[in-house]
Amino acid sequence: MERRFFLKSTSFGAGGLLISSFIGFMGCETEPVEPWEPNFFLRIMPDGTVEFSCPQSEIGQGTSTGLTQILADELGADWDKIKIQLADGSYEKFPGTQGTGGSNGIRKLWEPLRKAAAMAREMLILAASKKWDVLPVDCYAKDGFVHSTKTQLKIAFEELLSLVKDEYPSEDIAYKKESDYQYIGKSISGHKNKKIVTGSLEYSMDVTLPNMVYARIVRCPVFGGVVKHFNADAVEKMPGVIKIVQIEPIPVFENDFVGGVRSGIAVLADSSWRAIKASELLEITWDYGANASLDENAIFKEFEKNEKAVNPIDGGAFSDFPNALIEETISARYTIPYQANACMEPLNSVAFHKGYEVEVWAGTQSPQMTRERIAELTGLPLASVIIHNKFAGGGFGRRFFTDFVEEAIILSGKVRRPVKLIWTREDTISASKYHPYTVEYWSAHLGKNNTFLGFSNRGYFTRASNYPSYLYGKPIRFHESIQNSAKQLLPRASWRSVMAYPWGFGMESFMDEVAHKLGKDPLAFRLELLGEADVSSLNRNPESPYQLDARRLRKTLETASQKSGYTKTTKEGRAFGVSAIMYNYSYCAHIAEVSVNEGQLKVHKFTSVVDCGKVINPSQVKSQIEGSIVWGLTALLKGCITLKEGRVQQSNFHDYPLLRYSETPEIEVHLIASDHMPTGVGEPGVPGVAPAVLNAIHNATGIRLRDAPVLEIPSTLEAQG
Amino acid sequence: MISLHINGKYYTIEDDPATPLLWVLRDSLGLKGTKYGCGIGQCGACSVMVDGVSIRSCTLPVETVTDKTIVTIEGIGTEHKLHPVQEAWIAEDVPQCGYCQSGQIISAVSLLDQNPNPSLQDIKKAMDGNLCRCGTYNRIEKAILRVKSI
Repeated sequence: MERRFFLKSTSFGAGGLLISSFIGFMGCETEPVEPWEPNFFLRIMPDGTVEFSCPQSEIGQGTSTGLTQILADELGADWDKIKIQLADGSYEKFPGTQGTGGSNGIRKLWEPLRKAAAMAREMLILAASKKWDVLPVDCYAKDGFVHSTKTQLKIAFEELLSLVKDEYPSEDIAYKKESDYQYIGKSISGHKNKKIVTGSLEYSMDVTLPNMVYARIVRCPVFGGVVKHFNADAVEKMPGVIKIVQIEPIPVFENDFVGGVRSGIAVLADSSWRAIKASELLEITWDYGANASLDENAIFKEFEKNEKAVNPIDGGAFSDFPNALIEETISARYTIPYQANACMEPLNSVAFHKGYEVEVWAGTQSPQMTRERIAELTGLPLASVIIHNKFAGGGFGRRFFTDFVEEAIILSGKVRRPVKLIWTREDTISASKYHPYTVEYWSAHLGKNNTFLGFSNRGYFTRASNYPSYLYGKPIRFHESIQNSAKQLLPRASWRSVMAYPWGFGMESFMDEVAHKLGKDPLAFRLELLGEADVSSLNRNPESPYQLDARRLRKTLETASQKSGYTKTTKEGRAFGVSAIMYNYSYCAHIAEVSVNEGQLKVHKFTSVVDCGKVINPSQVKSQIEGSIVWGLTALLKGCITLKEGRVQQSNFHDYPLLRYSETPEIEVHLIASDHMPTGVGEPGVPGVAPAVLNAIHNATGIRLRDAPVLEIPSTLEAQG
Repeated sequence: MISLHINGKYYTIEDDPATPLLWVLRDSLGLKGTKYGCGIGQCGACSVMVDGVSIRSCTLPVETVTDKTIVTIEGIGTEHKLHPVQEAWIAEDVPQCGYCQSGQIISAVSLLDQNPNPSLQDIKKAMDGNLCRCGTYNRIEKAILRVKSI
């Protein structure tokens, strides 16, 4: 497993060596000991603390714990002496590795973080070996000390700080052997848990600055609408109210819903409560604009109309089949409503626009992009925009977007004081950005004697070019994504698993429908198609250590089958339903067990199997899959955002409910032991949840449901449509 | 002026008497472990114990609790002296984002104080009012069962 590389290489990628920090400092003995920062990831303090500057955001997905395990092992650090800080937004320090999305944190940082830690370790070893006059090869780093195998001597990292500054890293460095890992592969409890359980973890919602004011904005309830006029006379006289500010809208771009600000009126006050209460008394007259006559039914009709125009595009991965062979085609349509992310910590940020400089405290998934947006918005140079990333109470994609920071900057610019902008829960449900309404069309083409030729897919997104997650060994025809106005009706947000959700919802439901049509067991049918799959053409870069492999998905499904005791028929009143999904090189199979009695659905159990390559932290991986199942069940069985006259009809948890504890099934997660490169787990568990349940409902009742949300199980077969 | 008894200490505040306890705790007293989640008593992130019972502080006017004993998450345990429920939360690696967990722990402590040996049904009943978007419910159950078994 040892990998060697040359340090003379100029491209260190993320966390490149700060050569200047250790050149030319010739270790004068009387010089006070200073912290040593060998690269942008870590700094060793004179008291022995190892400060880890974590470029990935921590929104509950656990990545900061996993990355710390990687750092601790490769450096040979003492776990208890590591202090984890989320890095400020900086493209210069962390090019390409700071955005948190696509379940990419571990995958992107596995290599650069190990490299940075290994370099620092080797320099510490060099310094110690010189001090002891032994060979570096006879030294190793562990528990925050460099140890000598020949002399039994050991020396703490912090005692090497003045010496290590004279060292240049050796030209080739070996990574630690897996057998020497103390942390990687262990179920270490999340590093911030002690603070969380005592209520002392600071989220951006908890940031308080001297002279800070609190703000809440009433935004136009129809996206695209603007303030016509308003009356704030009564509000201005309320105790604690400091200022009323009209927010001019900043448009979002057609293909970039990242930023943008809705038209609205802000109340700035001396406390959160006073700002919220006062804002409710504003009298605002709106010009609602073009969306005021629309709802999702209008979009659905548009989808249906546009679906007729079929333009096949390059299938990318698989050879096509001639139309002449097709004897029969079966088709199905799946719809998914708008969804809100509904993070437990409502959106918020603290911003201080000082005129010459801007400082932001926010739980953001995009500290770099936020910095760029704010620089653009304020006209300040990037260097004058400081984004302090905070631990976030959930993100799920929503905190990738920058609107809630832009608003705070605008307000702080008006008062030149720090502003804490709070979105109420109602704001996060009613006037936010959303996972889009989608319609997916699937067809299966059969030849003579019921031979299965392949699929066609047409939906909201264009798959062939940007989403190679189809691993089944039958040709698939992709068609251009359906043009629609849904994008204009509500602004889009990323939502845990993003495009893979509608895609997986349709594909994994339809796989069952085709299996039943062919008279095959749905699980065996998938195994058969995955068994014959050659997906090598999907792997565009043969040099990459990440290669798609249908056999790995097959293995998760086989394992799930064994662990769950899957049968095609109902067992002890429970019916089984299957799904299998690959998402960004992680593979996940679910088997759901449900019963339906007098129209009442009960989801009893999920047996889930994940292959995410090398597992950094089994407990945290399982946590993510457990959470993904709760997320997927909420989306399927509970919440949905609907529109009437352009307005979102839901406002809080009473009408946008989340799955509760009593509704949560037993969840059993199994991990595939693997030596493949580590990959992410925040999202791969999500897309397969709904289809596994829908397939189980079909196996229980014979009813095929294709439209989310499923709020009740119809008693007749008419639902099949 | 209103006086409050929180975590064994007396505080005096000058907030409007109708202000919900949540915002007094957070903005006036700096006790920020209690979280704002929904403002309508639906999610439980703002749970505190009032005379030993888990209550939603977001809809509780501060004037109604002046003569009560209030315990917030800061009064349950500290990083150096954890409550058994907090220890169990860490042992089961419960939190993900962690934002709802103050409220979850308040509800769990309140349950176990009143009923040291709860059945699974008791646990479901006591904890069902606390939402968790990350989906940590099954681990919360395990953590409570762990405390119960000590």
